[in-house]
Amino acid sequence: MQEVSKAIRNLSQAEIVIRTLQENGDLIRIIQEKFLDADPFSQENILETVSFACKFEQHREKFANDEKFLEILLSQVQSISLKVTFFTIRICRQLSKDKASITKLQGTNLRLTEKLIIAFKWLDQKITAD
Amino acid sequence: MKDSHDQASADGGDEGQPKSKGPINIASDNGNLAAEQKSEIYSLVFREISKCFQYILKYYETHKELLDLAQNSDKIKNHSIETDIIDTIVKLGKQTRDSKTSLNAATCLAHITEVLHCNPEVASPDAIDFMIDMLKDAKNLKHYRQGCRYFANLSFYKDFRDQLIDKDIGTFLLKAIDG
Repeated sequence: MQEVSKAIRNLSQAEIVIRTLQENGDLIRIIQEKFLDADPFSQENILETVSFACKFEQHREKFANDEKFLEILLSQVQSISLKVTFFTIRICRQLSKDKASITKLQGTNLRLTEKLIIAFKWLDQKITAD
Repeated sequence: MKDSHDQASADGGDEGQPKSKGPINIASDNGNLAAEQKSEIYSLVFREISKCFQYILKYYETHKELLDLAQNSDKIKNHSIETDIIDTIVKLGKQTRDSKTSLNAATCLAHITEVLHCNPEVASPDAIDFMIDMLKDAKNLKHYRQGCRYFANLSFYKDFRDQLIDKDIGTFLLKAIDG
């Protein structure tokens, strides 16, 4: 999984690869079906691939419209891997660029805001502990 | 197929302006991050958080609607979420050495002051001190502008005016004009 996800991450720097992954819904399917059981390194690679895709508005829209994707994404804010946390928040920031996506990310209970505050407090404590 | 390429990274620049930055170099992973590398990632995460807040507050009407909705729910009825947001932003801005994070934080606070009867927490002593630092940063025009915007907006309110006078803000503003 690590090697495969790394290869996909590297290849996805080419726009055509991102487009293919998105047209077939493969990237969202990987997140929904494989991501949570994957090891942290594979998770980093998968999230970095998503982040590449989020450079494009039409792909951001697709991610933001998938509630299960958003739930999984937001559950990774306090990950065991610092880089997973970084890519999670980076993707949240990329999606927040679009007004409609912010509404979906926030839900009815301002969950994005809550996660950002939690992430800051958590990392701030980790820095002090380090 | 429309390709609206998201060139903006989590910096303090204007959205939509092309940036010529390469990818953020945090790729070499595999487990044991060196302290220096860890510190760099912390800084990048904080920059992303500050930019995310900036986007949230940019669309203030939407933010306000969602805030009211969440505030009315039983779970968090007696708790001011916006005060927590402002508190987090001020801490982000004050403790960072990354100029992009401080600019994002300053922009967030300035966004909040644009609203009529804004949350008084935005004029807390810590927030004012942070924004005085922005105002004094005449070398960084973007920081300086957010400082000017913040104090111009706050000075509209009598209550805030008194706090600003206590902080001797007039001196800083005069220095800013002379500078």
